[in-house]
This record gives sequence, C-alpha cells and structure tokens, in this order.
Amino acid sequence: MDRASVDQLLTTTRTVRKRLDLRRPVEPAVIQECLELAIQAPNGGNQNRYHFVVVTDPVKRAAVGAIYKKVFSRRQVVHLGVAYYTGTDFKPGPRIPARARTYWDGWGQQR
Amino acid sequence: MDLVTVDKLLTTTRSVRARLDLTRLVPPELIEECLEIAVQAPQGSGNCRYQFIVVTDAAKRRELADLYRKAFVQFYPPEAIAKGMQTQPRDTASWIALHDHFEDAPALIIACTEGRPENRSPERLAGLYGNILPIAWSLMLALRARGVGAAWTTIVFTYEKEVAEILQLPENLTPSVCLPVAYFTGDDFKPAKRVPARERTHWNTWGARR
Repeated sequence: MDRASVDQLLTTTRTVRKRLDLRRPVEPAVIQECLELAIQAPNGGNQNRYHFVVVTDPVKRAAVGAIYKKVFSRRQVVHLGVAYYTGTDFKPGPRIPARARTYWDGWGQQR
Repeated sequence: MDLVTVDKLLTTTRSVRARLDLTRLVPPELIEECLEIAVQAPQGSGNCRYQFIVVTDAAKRRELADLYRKAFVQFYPPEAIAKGMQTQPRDTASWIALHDHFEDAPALIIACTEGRPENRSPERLAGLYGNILPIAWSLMLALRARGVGAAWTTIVFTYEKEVAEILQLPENLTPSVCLPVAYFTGDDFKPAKRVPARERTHWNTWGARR
C-alpha cells in the first residue's frame, strides 16, 4: 500500500469550514459512493446499525441551520455539512503531539 | 490523491482477530508514528483531549485479558456463541480467537478522552466520544498501511473501574476503545458483508429514496 498517499490522507483531512465551495452542488452519486466506502469501517458484532439522512432540500437545510445557530455556543457537532472544497493545500493541523499524551503500561509512564 | 489506494485502505481495514501474528513484536516507534498520524483526525474544536495508554507489560496485558473474558461471557454467553457458529461462523470463530488470545497481542492501545459521560445529554455524549473515535479509526488505518492489524474492542470497559486501577488512570478520563495490535498474516483483506449504505440512506426525510 502506498504509505505516502495514506499518510497524506490521514494527516490532511481537516474539518473544512471556511473553504467549502458553497456554490457547487455535490453530486448525490458521490455522496452515496462515499457512504458505501464508509460503512466498511468496523462495527460492533457486524450489526450494521447505521442509518444516514442526507439533507439537500433548501427549506430543511435552512431549518437545520437555524437550530445550529441557536445552539452554536454549545459547539456540538451532530451532522456533517458537505461541499466541494477550494484548493488542495491542506496541511496537518496544530496538535499536542501524541507522544506527550502517550503512556506506556500505566498512567504517567514514559517509554 | 490516489483514489485506488484510498478506497482500498478504507474498505479493507478490518478488525483483525484470527490473523494476528502473536509471535512478532510491534516496535514502539511504529506505534508512536501511527499515533502522531492519528491525532491529525478532525476534532470538534481543536481541544486535543486525547490520551493513550500503550500496554506492553505482560502481567498487565494478562489482567486486562481476564477482565475482557469476564465481560465476554456476558455479551456472548455459550448459547449465543453456539448460535453464532451457525449464523456467522467466520465472525464468531474470530471473536473466539481474540477471546482466547487477548493477552498475547504484543500491545494493547487504550485510547481515552478527557471528560466523563455521566450526566451528559445525548448530543454532548456524541461530542465527548467524537473527541476520540475518529482518532482511533485513523490509528487503525495508519497501522494497517504498515502491516499491523488491530481489533476494535470496548467490552473490557464493563470493568472500567478495574481497568482504571490497573493503569492508574485519572478520574476525569474516559477510556473509549481498546485495540489489541499485532502484525497481521497475509494481505488479502476483502470488503466485509454489510447492509448496503444505499438501503440505509434517506434523502431529506426518513424513508425517502433518491
């Protein structure tokens, strides 16, 4: 497996907010294709309990948006807004290094 | 981006249980490298609430395995296993393989989030686990690309207090997933049998198809 592609994918898939191209529709077939890939992730006991609701209807999107704005101060993420993004120069995000948060065999123990 | 590689990675990263090579050590440096990649997963608001415990100590792995087995019989009593061997023989055999060899994986990675689930409303619970589950999944993907398999497990946290005691975890932490990891044997993983997403995708309102 091409490790460079894999590592780039895993380290540059950001939550995209400001760079969503809101004028360009995302084809339903693309969304469905991605959902088919996504459900290959492991799930407990292979019980397949997933369900997805995709909202494209402008009236319903506005209603969901109004609720989102109302509770924005609580900063919860319960749905995914999707759109094509602009540019392709995503970089790894600022993070506390995992090694600063990794303990070996017990809390507080470094390797 | 190379879609063939990406789609293969996403559709063939399985929970590996029966095909873990328990005779081969996973270098700690490889685990650290994958953890650094994994923490790049998106998070709600950039809070970096992750904490990881990597258990390689044989005595502690044994203690955790005993708790896992104690929980296992509650989730999968003998009659459920017998039924599983009829209806899902491959999956069931792989669960039993993990049950029997839980402590033999050279490392158990326990991914935790800061914060506790008690007294949270459902959407705030989603936020809590949202801090850590995308990271744990990215970790499995990064490991898989390096030949290392992992099994997604949670039932050991039936005995969360005992787990916390063994690992001396602080009280404000929620251990969220426990991944036994080891190199896998062979590399012919296939997509799993799933209910197709299109049968479970609703457009604009429940039950509406496209």
